[in-house]
Amino acid sequence: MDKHNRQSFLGPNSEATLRSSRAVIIGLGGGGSHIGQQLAHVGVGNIFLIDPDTIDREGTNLNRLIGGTEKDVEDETLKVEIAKRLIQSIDSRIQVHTFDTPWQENLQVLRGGDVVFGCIDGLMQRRDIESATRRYMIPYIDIGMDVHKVDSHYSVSGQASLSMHGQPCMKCMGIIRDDQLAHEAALYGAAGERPQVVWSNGVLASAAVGLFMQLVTPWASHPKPVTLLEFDGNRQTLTESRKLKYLGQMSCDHYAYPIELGDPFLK
Amino acid sequence: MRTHFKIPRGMLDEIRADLSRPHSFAYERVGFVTCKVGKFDGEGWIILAANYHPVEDEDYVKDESVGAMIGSAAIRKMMQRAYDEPYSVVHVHMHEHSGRPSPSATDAREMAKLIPNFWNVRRNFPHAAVILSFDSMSGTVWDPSSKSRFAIDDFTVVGAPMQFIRTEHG
Repeated sequence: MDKHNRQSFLGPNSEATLRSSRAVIIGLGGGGSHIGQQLAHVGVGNIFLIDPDTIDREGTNLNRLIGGTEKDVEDETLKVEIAKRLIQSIDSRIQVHTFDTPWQENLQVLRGGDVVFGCIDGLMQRRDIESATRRYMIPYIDIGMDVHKVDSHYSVSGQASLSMHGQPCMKCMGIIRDDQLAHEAALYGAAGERPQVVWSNGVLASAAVGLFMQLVTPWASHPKPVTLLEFDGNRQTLTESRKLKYLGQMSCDHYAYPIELGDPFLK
Repeated sequence: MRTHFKIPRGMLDEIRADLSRPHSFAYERVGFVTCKVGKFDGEGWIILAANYHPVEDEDYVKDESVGAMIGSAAIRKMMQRAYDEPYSVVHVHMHEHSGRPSPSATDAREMAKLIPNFWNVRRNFPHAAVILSFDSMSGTVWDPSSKSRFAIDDFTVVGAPMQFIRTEHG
C-alpha cells in the first residue's frame, strides 16, 4: 500500500504535484523545524532550507526544535542539517537543499520556490521576505508567536498568514505595523529573544502546512488567496481573523503593481 | 536554460474569456501580455504577467490562410508599450481543447516572424508566445542572449488554488 494512501482525498495527481513542488523554509527553529517535518510526511519532493544558525550550545533550543538531540547540542549542529536529517529519515527520496547563510544571500533560492514559509522573529525581515516573494509572484506563508506578561499571568498568542501578489499584505492585515518596525529599527533590527514553546509552534506550523496544502492540491472547496488565522494560546483556539472580511474588498496599496514585479534594474 | 512563466488566475480567466469571443471574420482571437522579468542564476528567465492587451477588432486583417492575422497597427501598439516601460511581450492565443496544447506549423512559422521584432524596443528582454487550452498551456521563449528559442519549462497559475504545469527533464 502506498504510504500516501490515506491522503488520496487531496485529489487526482496530488501525489505527483506534491512530489514536483518546491517549498522554501526560512528559519529552521521552533516553527520551521515542525514545517519541514510535516512537508516530508505529506510528500513534498523538493525542500530548500535556509538558516545560518546552529542549535544553541546551552541546549535551550531543545524545548522546541523538532529533530534536535543532545548530541546536536554537543556538536553545535547547523539547524538546516538537523532538519535535513529529519526530513530524509522520513522520506529519503526528498531532495533537500541546505543554505547556512542569511536568506538575503539566497534570493535565487527564493525565486525558484513555489511557496515560501517564513518562520523568523524579526518584523523587518518578515516584511522584506514578503516583499521579495511578491516581486516574483510567490505565495508567502508566515507564522509568528509571542508570549506577553499581562498582570500576573502570561498571554500566548500568534498567527499564521498567507499573502500573495495582488492580495492584502501583512501590513494590511496588521501583522506588521510601522510603530513596531520603528521600535525594531531603534534596536538596529534586533527582534530580541522571545519565549517559545513547542505546542504553540506546532499549532501554527500545522496551520501553515494546511494553508500550503489548500494552495497546491485541489481538495479544498473554496481555498482563499489571502488568509489570517489568529491563535489564542490561552484559550487554545485558532480562528480566522475578522479583519479579512473587510480586507477582502480592499486592494493593497503598500505594493505598487506592476512596478514592483521582477528584477528592479533590468531594462 | 530554464524559463518559468507566471500568471495571476484572474488575468488568465480574463484572457480565456476574451479569446473565446467570436470575431466578425477572423477564425480566432489573439492577444498580448506585457510582463515584468526576473533572471535565474546562470541562464534562465522568470516571466511575470502584468497586463493583458486584447487585439482590437479593427486590428485584424482578412487572411484565409491562418486563423487570425493581425495588422501592423496591433504590433506597433505593443512595441510602443514595451518601449514606454521595460516590458517583455508575450503573444497569446488559444486552442479549443483540454490538455497540453502543441503549436501548429503555422503557429511556429508566424511566431518566429513576429516575436523577434520586440527586440527592436527591448533587446535585453526575453519575449514569448504562449498557447492556452481550456485547462493548460505551453509556450516558446526567445532568449535575447543566444537569439535562440526554447520551450518554456514551467508555468504557474498564481491564485488559490495554484496550478503548476511543468516540463519534466530527464
